Amino acid sequence: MKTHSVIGGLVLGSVLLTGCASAPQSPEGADLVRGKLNSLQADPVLANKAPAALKEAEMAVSLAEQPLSDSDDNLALGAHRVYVADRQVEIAMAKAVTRDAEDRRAQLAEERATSRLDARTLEADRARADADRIEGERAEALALSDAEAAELQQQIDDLKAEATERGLVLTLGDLLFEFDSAELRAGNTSNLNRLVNFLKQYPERNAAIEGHTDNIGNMEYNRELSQRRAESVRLYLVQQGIASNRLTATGLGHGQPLASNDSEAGRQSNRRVEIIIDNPPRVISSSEAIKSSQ
Amino acid sequence: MMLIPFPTPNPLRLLLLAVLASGLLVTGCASSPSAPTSSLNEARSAVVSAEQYDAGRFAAAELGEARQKLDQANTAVKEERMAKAEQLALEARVGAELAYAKTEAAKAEAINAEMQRGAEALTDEMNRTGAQQ
Repeated sequence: MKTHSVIGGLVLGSVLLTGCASAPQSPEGADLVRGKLNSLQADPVLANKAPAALKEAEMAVSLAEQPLSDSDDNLALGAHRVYVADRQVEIAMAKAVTRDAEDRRAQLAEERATSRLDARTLEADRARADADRIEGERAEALALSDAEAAELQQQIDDLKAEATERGLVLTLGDLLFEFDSAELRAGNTSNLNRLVNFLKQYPERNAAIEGHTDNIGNMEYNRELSQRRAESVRLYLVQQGIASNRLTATGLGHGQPLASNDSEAGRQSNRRVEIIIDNPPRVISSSEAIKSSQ
Repeated sequence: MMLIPFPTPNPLRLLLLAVLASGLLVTGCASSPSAPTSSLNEARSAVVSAEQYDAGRFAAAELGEARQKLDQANTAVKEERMAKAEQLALEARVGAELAYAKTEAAKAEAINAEMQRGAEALTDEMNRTGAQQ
């Protein structure tokens, strides 16, 4: 019995002895890990990005800081806890960085979308500007400013010509000539003079002179009369200063009546000379030139 | 209790028993301890996850360290140092988790950098063609 008590006493004593040998201390390195954690918690960007991981790190650091009494086992335990706490703080940091990158990505995606939109808008604007420029060049090539267009319209109106797809058609009536003659009556040339002025003002335009008759008489006769009348007009124009190579004269006889030949009024209408002033040569756009060459 | 051959317990003996019992538990000699199997499995699993996630490329040091700890844990088991094995297994696990987390961060930043480059290239292109006009 006494031996057991002694053993008991010794064991108890040793426990008490080791308890008093040195005060328990915080394991080595625990303060460094605490410092790391503090830095992360103080980081303005990262502090709130990984709350769960941060909490776990906090718990691990607190555990690592727990004072341990001096022993080999406690040395290893302390070192172990500090190691684990350090890894946990690093994990929290890495997760915060990941989350931050993801948050910034939304912003980046927006910026990229804006950039793309800007680029497309720029492209569209440029395409439109190019189109406008080409259109403008084309209008220039036609050499018609607003003022010139107004002038031309006035001239056409004065001419009393009719705009058709063949060109401007000026119709000179029967009274231009003596009956059954190709001789121009004097004093009836005001229309012709207006035509001369027009042709002089727009030297790029040519004119086709076409003579017509009513259906009295045979085709051959009428054709020959209408031919002579057309040539009369042509001669007059040339005499007034229009270059002859701008003018053609053709007799069409009674083949193209304007009105019915059953009435005198109709026949008078049909006895006419038509002068067709062609439209100015069209400026071919570059795209049309490319198409036509393919 | 039944091993100790005294017929009647008294307070001092109870205290002795308690101390001895706790002492035995501390030193681990009472029975042969079992390997920390679940901790080891968790550690292995974490290392494999990190490897599959390409941590070898983005967090090579951390992954290497985790593998080392796992090897040490296995050795400790063979040496029947189970408490040590438990600690090493845990260290291996958190080490592998760190390798994984660092890889995630590196990949996330790489994606952003790529997007940034993309946006800059676009801006450059716009400015360049603008200069040509």
